[in-house]
Amino acid sequence: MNRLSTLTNGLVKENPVLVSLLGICPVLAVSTQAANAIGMGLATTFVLLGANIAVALLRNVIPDKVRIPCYIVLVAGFVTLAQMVTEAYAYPLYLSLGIFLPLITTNCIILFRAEIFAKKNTVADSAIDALGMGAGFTLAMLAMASIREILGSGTWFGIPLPVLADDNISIFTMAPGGFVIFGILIAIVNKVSKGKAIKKKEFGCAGCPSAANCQKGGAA
Amino acid sequence: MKKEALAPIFVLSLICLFVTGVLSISDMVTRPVIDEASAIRAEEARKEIMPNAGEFMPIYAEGFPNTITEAFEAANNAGYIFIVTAKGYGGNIVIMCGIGPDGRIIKTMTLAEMETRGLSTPVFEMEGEYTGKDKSLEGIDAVTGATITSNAYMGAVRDAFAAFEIVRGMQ
Amino acid sequence: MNNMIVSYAPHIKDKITTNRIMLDVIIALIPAFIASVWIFGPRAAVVTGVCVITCVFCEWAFQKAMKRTVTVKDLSACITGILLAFNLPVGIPLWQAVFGSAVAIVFVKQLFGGIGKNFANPAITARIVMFIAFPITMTTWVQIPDSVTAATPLALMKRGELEALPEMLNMFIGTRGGCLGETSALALLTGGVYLLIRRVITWHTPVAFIATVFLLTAIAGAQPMYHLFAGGLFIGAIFMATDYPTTPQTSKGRIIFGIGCGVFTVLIRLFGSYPEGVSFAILLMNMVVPHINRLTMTKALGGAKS
Repeated sequence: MNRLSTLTNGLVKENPVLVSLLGICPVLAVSTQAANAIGMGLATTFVLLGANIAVALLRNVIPDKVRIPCYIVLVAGFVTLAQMVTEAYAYPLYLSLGIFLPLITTNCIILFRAEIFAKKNTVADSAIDALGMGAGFTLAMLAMASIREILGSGTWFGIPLPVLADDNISIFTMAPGGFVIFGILIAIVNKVSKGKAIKKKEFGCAGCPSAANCQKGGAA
Repeated sequence: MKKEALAPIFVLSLICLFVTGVLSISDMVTRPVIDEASAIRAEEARKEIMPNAGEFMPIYAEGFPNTITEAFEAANNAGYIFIVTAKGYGGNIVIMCGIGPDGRIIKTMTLAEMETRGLSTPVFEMEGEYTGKDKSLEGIDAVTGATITSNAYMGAVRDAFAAFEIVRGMQ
Repeated sequence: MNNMIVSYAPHIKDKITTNRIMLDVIIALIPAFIASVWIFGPRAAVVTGVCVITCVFCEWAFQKAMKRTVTVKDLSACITGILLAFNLPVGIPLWQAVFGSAVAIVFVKQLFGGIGKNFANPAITARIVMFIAFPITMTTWVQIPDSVTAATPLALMKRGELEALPEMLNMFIGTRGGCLGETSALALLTGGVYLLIRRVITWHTPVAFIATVFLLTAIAGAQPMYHLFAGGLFIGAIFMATDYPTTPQTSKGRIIFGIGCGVFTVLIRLFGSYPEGVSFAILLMNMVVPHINRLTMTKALGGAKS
């Protein structure tokens, strides 16, 4: 597929959060304020980019048997790098991300893209895919965070809004509200894409994205 | 057979070594920046509690309650600052408590906490409550002392006073 | 065999229709409504009206939007509105009441399939949502003339200020601080007796619930008589712990349910950080109802040994 469609893939058609339903944990946890969402998105994109490039570079070198440990070491390396840089040069962001900065290591999106895309594509393509996925992730987070911050605290990016600042609905900045908003967003995506986005038809081995590589069940 | 097992081990080890190397370099670069920045922040926090104090010198003493993580003596006899860590509701509450030479609290400041938001954020309200109080803590509203958060806060302030007594006794 | 239909409760065909049952519940709630207006003033009627209108509208709009049959005529949305209003303080901003009503109907009831298919009581759950969403306005009560303070009896007991508690007669009639429909034990009892006579509810859950609270608070030495009439115990035990889809179907199950609600209520009131525990207790027990049903289900006549 051409470069442009690779980029937009991550934004809309295969948005990692709203369509593939990956990386939900940081999305729910860090989406209470729009500013944090952007920070988290940037950090995740950085790690995605690094991991995808590294995996693509080494795709002919890493043996299949140890690919998962290798990917994880690479991802953890980039996350630690991001941690150090953020703590040194962007301390307020470091504080607001808290535990979720090191937890980017466990973000399924990164491992998923490495396994599905970077392993089989060139460095350039993988980098573009990473940028697209990162942008899609950031977009989804920004949408969630904006809704939650506006309705829940009456501010946006910290700027108090006229009516809402006094009369806000604080449950939206808490966990239950977050889940509800997330559900509504997915429902909207489903409705807008007429049910094509989230393909629920295949369960089991047939529907798993790793089916081609998996040794179990003879799907390979 | 041997070759099959060797290659993966070799590659994995190499990658680990390489990543470790890169991270060591990055740490060498960023560690000084981080340390300097956090020292500045700590100093600013102390200045906020006692603006006229000048220098702060760290002090250590036997018998401090083990919730006291740091203690400073302010120059020109402006008082003492204690950093106390208490167990709150959602995690640790770290407060900085400044006590003047007269035995009264100059100011308390919350450095870190993970208490519940929304229903009440007493941690920040309490800062004003304790200003000017002496060791007996009279005047602290009994109702405020009803939650885990405010109990922890009060306990931390008491520990600060205990440390203050020790330091004062040393002179 | 082809005419067998699987459906949700209630199963027995009788002259009773959903409509008739709901009408009875509304009639049973009238005394409490009159009491609330008498005690809290005309705004009580406004809040109730807003909740009812919003609930009915949301049900109509949702069912229209999802292309389902509109069932507002069965009055269940009406009742949810009334019950939710009775759980709110008289001074609640009206837009918040609208929000709560919408949550009750759209989220707790309709999204799960409509009447009979919700897993939790809509009014109680919406009240809890509002409590978390609007912590300040949901805990701001108005001072009743004749009382020393604007705080509710439960809040006073929590703080240990027992001297400020209202007279027992006031507690029974309802002239005390609190939410709209929950204060008058007298009015609620009247409604409860009516429902018992009309066979809309059975005695098991309310009696088990109230008796458990009384016994446990007596054992704990914590003003059992006040606990009986304080907070939302009566309205919860009579009107919400007897809601058909979210409570057990067998008598044994209902007693278990009532006891469970009572235990949780007392635990939260005495040891939790909230002064009132009825709403959370009912919600918690709602979750457990499927298990209670399974455990207490009577064997079908002639059914094979399992």
